[in-house]
Amino acid sequence: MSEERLRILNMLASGKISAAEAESLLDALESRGSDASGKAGSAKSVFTGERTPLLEALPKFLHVKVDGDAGEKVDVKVPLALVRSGLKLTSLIPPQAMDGINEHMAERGMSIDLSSFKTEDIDELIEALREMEVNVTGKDGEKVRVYCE
Amino acid sequence: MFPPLLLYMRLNSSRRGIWLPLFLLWLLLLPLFLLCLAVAVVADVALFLVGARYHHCTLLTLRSVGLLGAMRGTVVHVRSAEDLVDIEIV
Repeated sequence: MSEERLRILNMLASGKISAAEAESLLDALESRGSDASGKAGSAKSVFTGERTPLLEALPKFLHVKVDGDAGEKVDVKVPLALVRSGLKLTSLIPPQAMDGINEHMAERGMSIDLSSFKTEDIDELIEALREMEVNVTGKDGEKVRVYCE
Repeated sequence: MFPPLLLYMRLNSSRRGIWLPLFLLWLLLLPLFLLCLAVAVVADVALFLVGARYHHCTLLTLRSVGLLGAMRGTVVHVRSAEDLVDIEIV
């Protein structure tokens, strides 16, 4: 079973997509697969990465909205593709430089090995962010909302 | 994913913002990028021939440009009594 099919079925099993959506994703995957099999030697674009139906279903933006008590408003929209591209870029950093980066991060309390991130981990992380929503209401009426869509 | 083409900025109390044509900047930087790419390709070939494990300089260069393209769609709106900041990357 291919990785993408497995991911679609996992999303269906966890209730994140409906049966109809899963069916259309699987159909799109199959039709894309039959197109790709006829194009031997086609190169994957390193600019865009491979656009799969699953990738199309992932949340695309991180929204941060703040309404202050004195009328201040902050609205920030950050594309999650930036996170994906940044993490993919870390996998290409030379090992010597990566060791130095990991050391500096560990000194500051962040013991994360950036070189161990894989593409499927990144997509899983971003897919999991779909359900994330943070709503904070302050005592003076200020509101903070963080969500992905 | 192409790099962003336009940057819209409005700061403080200016009534209208300005649209900066980033595509002109990329056109100006294109020769420099092509030079870096050529150096990266040569470096990769040399590293591969000497048997080095790491020979991904070309991919690193190309994905750095991809990172720029991933910034498209970034929007920042900040409003307060004293400050006004609008930034959009298209």
